[in-house]
Amino acid sequence: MTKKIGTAMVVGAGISGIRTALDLAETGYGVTLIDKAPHIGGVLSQLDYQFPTDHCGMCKMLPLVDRDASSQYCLRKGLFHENIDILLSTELISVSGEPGNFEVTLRQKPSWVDPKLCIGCGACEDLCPVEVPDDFNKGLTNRKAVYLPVPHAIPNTYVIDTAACTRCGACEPVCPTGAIQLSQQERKKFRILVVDDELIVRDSLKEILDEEGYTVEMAESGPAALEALSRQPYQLMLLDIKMPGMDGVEVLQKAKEMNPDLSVVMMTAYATVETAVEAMKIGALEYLIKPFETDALIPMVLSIYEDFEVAKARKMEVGALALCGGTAYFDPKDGKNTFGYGALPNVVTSIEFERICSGTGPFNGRMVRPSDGKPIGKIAWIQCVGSRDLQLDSDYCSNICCMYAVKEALLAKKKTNGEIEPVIFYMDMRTFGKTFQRYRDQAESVHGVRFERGRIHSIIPDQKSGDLILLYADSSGKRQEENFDMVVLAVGQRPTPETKGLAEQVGIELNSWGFAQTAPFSLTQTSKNGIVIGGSFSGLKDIGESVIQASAAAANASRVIHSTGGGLALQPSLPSLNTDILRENPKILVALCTCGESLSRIVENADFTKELLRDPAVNRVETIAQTCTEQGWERLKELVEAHKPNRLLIGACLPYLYARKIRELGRQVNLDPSLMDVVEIRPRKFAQKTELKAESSKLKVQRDLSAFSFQLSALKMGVAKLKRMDPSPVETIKIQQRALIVGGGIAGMTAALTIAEHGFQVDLVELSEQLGGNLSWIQKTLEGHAVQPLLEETVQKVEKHPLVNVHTQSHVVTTFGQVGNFFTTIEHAENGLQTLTHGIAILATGGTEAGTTSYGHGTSEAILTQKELEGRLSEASIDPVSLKTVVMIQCVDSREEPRNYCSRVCCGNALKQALHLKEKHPDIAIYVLYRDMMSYGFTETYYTRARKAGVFFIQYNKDNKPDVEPEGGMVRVTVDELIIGKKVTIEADLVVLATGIQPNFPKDLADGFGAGIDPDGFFQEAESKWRPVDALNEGIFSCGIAHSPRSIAESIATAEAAAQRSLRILTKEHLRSGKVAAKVKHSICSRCERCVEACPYGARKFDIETEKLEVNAVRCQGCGSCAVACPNGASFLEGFPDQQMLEVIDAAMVGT
Amino acid sequence: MSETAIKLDYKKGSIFIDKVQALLPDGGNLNLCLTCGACSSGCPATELSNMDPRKFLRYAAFGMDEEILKSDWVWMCTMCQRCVYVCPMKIDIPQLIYHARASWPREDRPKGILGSCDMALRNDSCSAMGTPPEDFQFVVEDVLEEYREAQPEFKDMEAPIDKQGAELFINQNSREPVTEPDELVPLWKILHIVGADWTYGSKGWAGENYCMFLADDESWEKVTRTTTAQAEQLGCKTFLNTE
Repeated sequence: MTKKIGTAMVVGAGISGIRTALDLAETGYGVTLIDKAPHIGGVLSQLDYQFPTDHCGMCKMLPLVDRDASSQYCLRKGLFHENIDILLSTELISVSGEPGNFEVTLRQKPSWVDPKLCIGCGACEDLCPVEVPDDFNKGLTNRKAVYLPVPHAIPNTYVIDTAACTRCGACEPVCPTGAIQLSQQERKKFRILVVDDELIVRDSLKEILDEEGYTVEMAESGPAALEALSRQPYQLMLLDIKMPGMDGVEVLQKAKEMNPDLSVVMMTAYATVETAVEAMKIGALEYLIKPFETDALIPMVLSIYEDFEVAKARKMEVGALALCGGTAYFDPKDGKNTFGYGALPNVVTSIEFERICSGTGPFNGRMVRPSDGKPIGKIAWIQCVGSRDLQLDSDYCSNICCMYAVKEALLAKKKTNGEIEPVIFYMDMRTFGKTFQRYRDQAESVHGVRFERGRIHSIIPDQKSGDLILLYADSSGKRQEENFDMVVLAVGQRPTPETKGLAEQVGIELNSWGFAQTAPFSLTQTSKNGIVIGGSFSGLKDIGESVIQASAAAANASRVIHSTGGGLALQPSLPSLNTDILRENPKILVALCTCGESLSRIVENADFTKELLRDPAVNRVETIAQTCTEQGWERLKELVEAHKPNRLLIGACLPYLYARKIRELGRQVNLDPSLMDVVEIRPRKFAQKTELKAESSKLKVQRDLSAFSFQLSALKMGVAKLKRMDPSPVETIKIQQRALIVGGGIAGMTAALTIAEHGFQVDLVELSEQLGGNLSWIQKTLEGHAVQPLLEETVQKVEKHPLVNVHTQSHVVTTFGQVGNFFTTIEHAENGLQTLTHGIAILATGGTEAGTTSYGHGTSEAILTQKELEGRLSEASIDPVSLKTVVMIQCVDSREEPRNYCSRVCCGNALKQALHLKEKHPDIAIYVLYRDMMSYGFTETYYTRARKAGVFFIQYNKDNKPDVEPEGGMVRVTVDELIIGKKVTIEADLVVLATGIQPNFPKDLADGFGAGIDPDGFFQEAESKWRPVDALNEGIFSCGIAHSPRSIAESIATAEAAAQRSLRILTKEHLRSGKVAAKVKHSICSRCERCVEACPYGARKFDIETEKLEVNAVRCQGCGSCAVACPNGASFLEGFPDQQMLEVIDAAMVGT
Repeated sequence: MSETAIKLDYKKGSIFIDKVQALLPDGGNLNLCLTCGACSSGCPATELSNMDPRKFLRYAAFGMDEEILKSDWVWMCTMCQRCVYVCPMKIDIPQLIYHARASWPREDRPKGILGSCDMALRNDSCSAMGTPPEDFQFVVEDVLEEYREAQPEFKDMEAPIDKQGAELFINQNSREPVTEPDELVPLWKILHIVGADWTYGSKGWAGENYCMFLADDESWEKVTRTTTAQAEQLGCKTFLNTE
């Protein structure tokens, strides 16, 4: 690594924090990822199933190129990336400095369990006498004071809940690795010297402060104190002023000369207060007037201790900060209407229900209710608990609850073979995401989830049965009474308790409800340059949106680091290939950890060594006392340097710990990391314990194996694997560090600028004569931000940027190539053809307002679409004052087949137009006919404003639409008013139709770039949640409304995300494949092309010129599908060839 | 759905709900309805007279004043406020109903409530049962004496009327002294045991106020002023309303 590397800090290691960190790390920055919790994953660590697949998929966020830089196992379990430092139990204390050059101070919560030593055996947990409710299961189960924060983390190390721990010490002696050190807790390291000539004062102070956990020593005079200070360091001295011989002031002077950092508190009688004040001038920190109460002493000492802790805090410099602190959830107990939560055990929150569904939850995933373990029969969800409620100061929608309720209902169905009867009580089903409406419709029509529009007043418990009686009024006003086994409260968002402090600390603004406020037209930028927001810190959002926004945050953080000179790093220099290795026979050094002494009896046994050396590939067998310690690792390095093996096998516990270290070692000793491996060998106690916990018969067999052959076979498997590992280097592809962007609307332009500002050439192709797309007809946003200045500024920047080549009046004719190397021919209306080379492509072809002939559109001047109204208002051909009555009809041809999706902007648009008309003409009557108002997130407040302003909202059903009849210059609209149960007619001057967004995503363009199109004509994401702007075909991205219906700010976020995803690739001159990748033995390939079909990543193709099956090494993800499909073994997976696997299996059988 | 469609013809300011909004702080949030129906699901009067709070508010919002001002449902509301308690928009439906009641000609209002209010206006007791002050005084003294004798542990118990300077001024629903005098005693006992310094008033001792339920503002005020004036005249520091 020769070039200076930019650095960033990501605060919060939930989904968005991980995405931001990975994006920055893959782009080459050094990232510090911190989290307050002792684990990564945020709330997702508690959620096992995600909509719409109803399983996980988090691992899809892992890098697809240069895979070996990162861990390649379940991301819920843990993460490793060579450019990411993860600091857990760590908080941000302060930030100072400038964008590009921030100084941050971090405080890591002291841990009484050393994570480097803990092997997760659980011996401590067995003995711990303290039981407290387990927050991981939301209090539905208990845990000990020493516990695993999540059941599935790797490495999974114990932590101590310092608030619950009684410091009884029972765990300390049973820890096999000595990882628990209660006696050396942090306070004990804070040493206090009490200096007073009166014994009684000394003694009582010592007693009080001992009790508080500090280390306290005493001195009876000035000289004695100075002597003590010279012997050992102290952090605090409590010093009496009036002492015979040397007085306190003199002691202070001398002590400060010896140790200027020593904190000194003077103790004085009232008469000598002035002396104390004088003492403060020469360096005393505080004074106490005798006699003093413990209440005065303890907080003073504590505050000095805490300052001492902070002073110990880690300081670091970073170029930019991404705040991904997530969100908290409403506690129904805080509400006026608690729905019995907290009092009735069968009333749970949605997060508690997720835990009930989980296999690691309180009932091991069985669908039973908490009060009596009875299988759940009928279950109700109550929506909007803590959302859309003025009484709870939450005039906002929490965005995700509607969809997670549907998911939970379906999950409950699935887990019980459809036995459960779920009912969802809602106000508006907010299915505003891309596939949400169909998901909801299927939940109802296929799976039998019942949807009831209405809010429950209260829940009445049936004391005898434990059932819950729900009273509700159906839409006709009839009172219904229904019994349920369980009720789930869909709780909404609240800012986290830390949000306010963090915002003040870093100097960013919060919105009226306490969530982070982002700048106009941005979902990530704050009022402070260089500090960006990711994920739910600015309001709750689903995974897909969080991931998009996290990538956008990474892009904006990167922009700041780059523009302030932080620079992008070159890829780490690889060990120059030791060419001899290709010719050499395997020469394996086996280094065995004795784990203190717990494994000595086995690994230091001569027979054991002899067994290993029987394989000629094994050159030496050595032991190391504790490989996990620094000394242990040094010893290993010495061994490697001394014996120069060409392969290294380490036997130790917790192999995941070594991923990063091995890469470092590889660089130091010039050995490819793929030629080094760590095999898990564990102390006997630990091995037994985990086996006893598990019940599988396979493990029972293992239990009977002697430790000797068990460890031996594990090592022999490792030897077999290493021995057959191909030492040739991984393939790389040289790439074109240029971008092609198709579409010059706001999304395309934003993506172009983001990439160009990082120093890469961009070709921006626009079909029309002008840049700007849909922004040209929009005057202002719902929030009131003027759109035209944004458009003008962006167009100007794009046109002036030396690295952006704008091709208007042009379109793509053909394209071919693969990630890193595309060749695209574009055609200009006049200038003809031109071929562009590029490494990535972003498709931002946009969309338009859908046309319609419904509701008489086109037959009357008084029936307009929203866009038409926008136009008439801006050209002033409609005067709001001349209008008496306006009807707006939402969901025109939308949210039903064939366009069964929500366009998400139309409800906001209707609110904007209604508020505008009301503002210009307060007496106007406006009726909005809607199916579900989709004023998601903080736009809900505009829905409230519109009602406040007197706009009427009338709900209609899909199967009973309003009737529109033009008559003269007027239009008569008739609709069934469901609440009063009568038909109503409205004589309107104007009817405005919300027809929604239709994508403009040409099929041949998509096909050319190998991008998918979804059933509604939008871009098909590789994965809607985890890879939301990527095509399955690596190197192709999409943004803006070609991707999905979106507001301007949301479109910009997708553009920034797409740009960031592109920068991961563009910043590298060469892309590296992973070590585990597919290859072809051409001599035995029959060219049947079955592998081409089998490859899920499109990494294979038959090259007509060479008549060979080619594998794109970068696209290949090493899944092995091709090897399975190949009828004659021509396709194989490097890292898992047959011979190697057979030997591994043989080794596994040793001793059986 | 009925076949004949109702014509919505909104004219701002002219309709009943607009007038009520003008009277209430924040307009009683009467515009803010999300039609979620939480009010109706908790209202004891839902479905009576084919009406419920949500529907009532809806009629009002559309300016269909006929439907709400003529509906006898307004008299079935108990003013319990369960609706506004859970309303996510904190809509003051009871106030809307109150004003609908007030729009009725006084003589057309329900006989029971009307009669009770009129009774209260008869004399200074303000009792819905028309009980005069001297009858109340007699009953209180009589019951007190009886209990003092029968239960020696309460021989010092008091039930003062018009005790000057007492800490608490306490009122009393008329039903107890008139029909169930023994029911007066538990409260006296509690007050005695805790050593409270309290008094009834000879004027305005009756706690119930049917004039309020009748939406007769003037009479409601008269009744209230009578009782508070008595408390002030006696120099009581705290008015304890037991209704």
